[in-house]
Amino acid sequence: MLLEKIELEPGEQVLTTVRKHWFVILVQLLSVSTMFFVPVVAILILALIPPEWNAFDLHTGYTTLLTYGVSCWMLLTLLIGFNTWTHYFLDLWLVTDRRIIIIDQHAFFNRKISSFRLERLQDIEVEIIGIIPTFLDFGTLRAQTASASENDFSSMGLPNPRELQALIQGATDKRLESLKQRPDTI
Amino acid sequence: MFGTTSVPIASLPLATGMQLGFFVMLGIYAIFTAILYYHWNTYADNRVVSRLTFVLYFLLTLPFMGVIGITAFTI
Repeated sequence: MLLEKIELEPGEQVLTTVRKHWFVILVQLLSVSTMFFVPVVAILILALIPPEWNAFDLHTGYTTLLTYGVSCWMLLTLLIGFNTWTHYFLDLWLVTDRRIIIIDQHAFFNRKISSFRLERLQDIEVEIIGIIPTFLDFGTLRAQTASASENDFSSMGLPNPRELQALIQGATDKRLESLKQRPDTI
Repeated sequence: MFGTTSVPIASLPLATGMQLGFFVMLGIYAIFTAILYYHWNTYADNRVVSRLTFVLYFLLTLPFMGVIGITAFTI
């Protein structure tokens, strides 16, 4: 499982794991569901058209072919749906008392894991734009670090971004305090 | 009726075309299932959600795979 792969340091504690807001996956799955039901709606519309106006008569032996085609379509959209769900669930922020680990699952074979230590955190910024994000309380969180290689991490659609910002800032303050007292623990 | 119908472009009997389509779908399904299993088994942080996802996945997809197979081989 994931935590065995990440290999936390001895004594490192996971403070929270954050996934994108449920509204993000809801919108994505709703669009997949719409695609899923497209053939059903098309068949219903065709069935409503009188046979004399309809070149594609549903009652003259096309049933097996239709069932085959519709099943193929529905199976493929289901696979797309599970693909979407997988990317949503495997995409997460892991905040520990020492670092932040950001896992970006872009596609099945496109996975990016970034990690930065809290003492390197320079700035953390929250952005909530739009009516729905404001009411449902989700937004973009940007973390800027002092790292030379990659110094900006951001993720869209995170729930309770202000709460998460406060948690990260609190953990950073505690980390800096403990490093001042025991500098050898870096 | 369908056994003697041909796909105009390739002159392939419809039943053969559908059976070929079934094997293509079966291949796609098998590869996707393997990839899905690998990802959930390796990267998920919650075993309960992983199991639920797999139960739901097979409950929803296997009937469609069955229908595709039955229609392709009984036409």
